[in-house]
Amino acid sequence: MGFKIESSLLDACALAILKRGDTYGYEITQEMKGAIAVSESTLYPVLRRLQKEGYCRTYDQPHQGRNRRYYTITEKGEQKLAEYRAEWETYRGAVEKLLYNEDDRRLAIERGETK
Amino acid sequence: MTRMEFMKILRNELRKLPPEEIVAATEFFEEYLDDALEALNVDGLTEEEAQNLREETEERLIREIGSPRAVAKQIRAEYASRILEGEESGGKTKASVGSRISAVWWVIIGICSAPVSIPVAICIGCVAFGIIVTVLSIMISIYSGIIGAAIGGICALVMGCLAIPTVLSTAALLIGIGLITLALAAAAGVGAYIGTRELIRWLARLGRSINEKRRLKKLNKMTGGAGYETAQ
Repeated sequence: MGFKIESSLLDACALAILKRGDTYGYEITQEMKGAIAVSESTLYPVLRRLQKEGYCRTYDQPHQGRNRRYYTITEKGEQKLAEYRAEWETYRGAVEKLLYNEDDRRLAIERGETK
Repeated sequence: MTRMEFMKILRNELRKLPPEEIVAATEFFEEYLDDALEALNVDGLTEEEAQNLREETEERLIREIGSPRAVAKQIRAEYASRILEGEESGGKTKASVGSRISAVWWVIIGICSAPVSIPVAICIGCVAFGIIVTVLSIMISIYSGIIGAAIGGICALVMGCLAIPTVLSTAALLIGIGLITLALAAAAGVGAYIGTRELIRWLARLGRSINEKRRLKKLNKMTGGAGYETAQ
């Protein structure tokens, strides 16, 4: 996984995980790590930022004699996620067009399609 | 590195952040380790084996998380960017309560010390004004000296030329004096011009660096170093 993940994309992924239901730090990191190369130390600031910007809330629940902090997505967070998803569609389309376009430039010029 | 060492370094590296930030960060990593250890499969192991496995895993997990200093740096950077965006300007955090208290204190100190501080401020203002006036007068006197010398030189030159038909030796002397004076005035003029230009440049640089330093100091106070890197 050689691509560096940009921070707004991390925000989007974390929101998507929260959208599927309330969960706690360890589970979020495990789900993220299953898909992209990311460390706990990167993920904590992401969750903190989402929380401070009002995209998610936390609540504590006792678990085996200690506390477990659950993260839950807010309405604002869901809106943001929808925004991120739309942006991602556009972005993905543009990158894929660039990445997979194997049209020979010279042939295209001969056909008079481009200058 | 043990969990305790990790948390101690992390707490220390975050000490300049508001207490709630430190607590939230350490709790997150404590909880992460607890949950990761809980997820271990210890079925069929004796209590001793399970304990060994937990200790080994904890060490490995802490290694994977990486240096607590690097972790703290990321947290500080995130905090700094949040502060810069003004997300916490609502006054909810302890830091802003603290700064509000200190602002109140500054006002009280200001009022109490007014009998002393106002004359002192006037004094400082007067001294600064005096320095500025002095520097300006020195510059004006240098320039007028140069202009005077140039005018004198030209006059000597003209007088010399007028004297050529009558007394040749006096004419030569006057022309000589005129030329030397003009040359010196020209040299001094170039010197004064370069000096003035450098002085203005230096003042501009000084102003900029004072501004920059104030900005960085403000950032560093909040983040304990992370701000310095982001602002660079």
